[in-house]
Amino acid sequence: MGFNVSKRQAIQALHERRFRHERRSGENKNLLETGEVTIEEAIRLLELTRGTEATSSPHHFDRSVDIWVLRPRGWYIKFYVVDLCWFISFHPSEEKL
Amino acid sequence: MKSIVMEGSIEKAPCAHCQRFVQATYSYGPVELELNLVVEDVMRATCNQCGAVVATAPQSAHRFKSALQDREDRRTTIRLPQELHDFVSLNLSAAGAEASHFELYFRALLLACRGREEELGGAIGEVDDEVLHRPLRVTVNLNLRQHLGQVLSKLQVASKIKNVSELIRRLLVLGDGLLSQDVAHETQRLTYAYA
Repeated sequence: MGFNVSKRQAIQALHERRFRHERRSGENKNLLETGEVTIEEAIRLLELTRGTEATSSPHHFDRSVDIWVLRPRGWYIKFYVVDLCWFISFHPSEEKL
Repeated sequence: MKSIVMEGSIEKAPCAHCQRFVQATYSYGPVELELNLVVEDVMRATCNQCGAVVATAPQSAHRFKSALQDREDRRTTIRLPQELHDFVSLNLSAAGAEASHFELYFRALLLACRGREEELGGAIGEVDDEVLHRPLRVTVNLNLRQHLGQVLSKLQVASKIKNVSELIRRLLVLGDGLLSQDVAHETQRLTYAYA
């Protein structure tokens, strides 16, 4: 699935609250999970992200699942879909701005 | 309800321990957000194989947010003469708030000082009133959000009064004089906001 279609579907999932947050110990705080980024802010950030700021790769648990990683300025955003449920995370980028 | 996950829901989720996608069951329970920060009553999924917490539902974002805010809060206990305690209750009643909602008044008091800490430092130091010599009979616990804790810290520096109780007693006296209009305005505003 291409970036624009995936992005549109992820935004739709955010609108419909049809998403979850994966939990991994030691991972940086997911600001969408903690409410420090609101769903509306997350949608706006996704809308502003362009294909040149995104890459996809197969999930190492299941290669049929594509993980999209978006790196708009200051952010590290990740999303993928499993059984119609989206896993979405928003982290502040660790790269120097 | 489509946007709320119910206890007992079973969904697929990635399990870092099992290193694969697993079936996981949602229920309310604790989640360790960071080292030494456990958040209770989160709707989270545990792996049906190993029991690890593997996912959380967006409906619990408010629990994480308030736990993070609570950690940043500044908790303090102040002691007041009964007369100053009555003064706070009187002002709360006048604003239409519960007379027992002390935190609201103290927030209003500190909001009225925000951005004026330097200017008020001298006035706080110079306050002298009979009520400041009355016996300290009442204890009030305050839980101040980070930005109000910062106001308090700046006032401590500007007034050179380190004791928080002493500082707030003096501020209360100013709340009946120099700051009365600003505090009344903030109290009214917060009363509407809480309502």
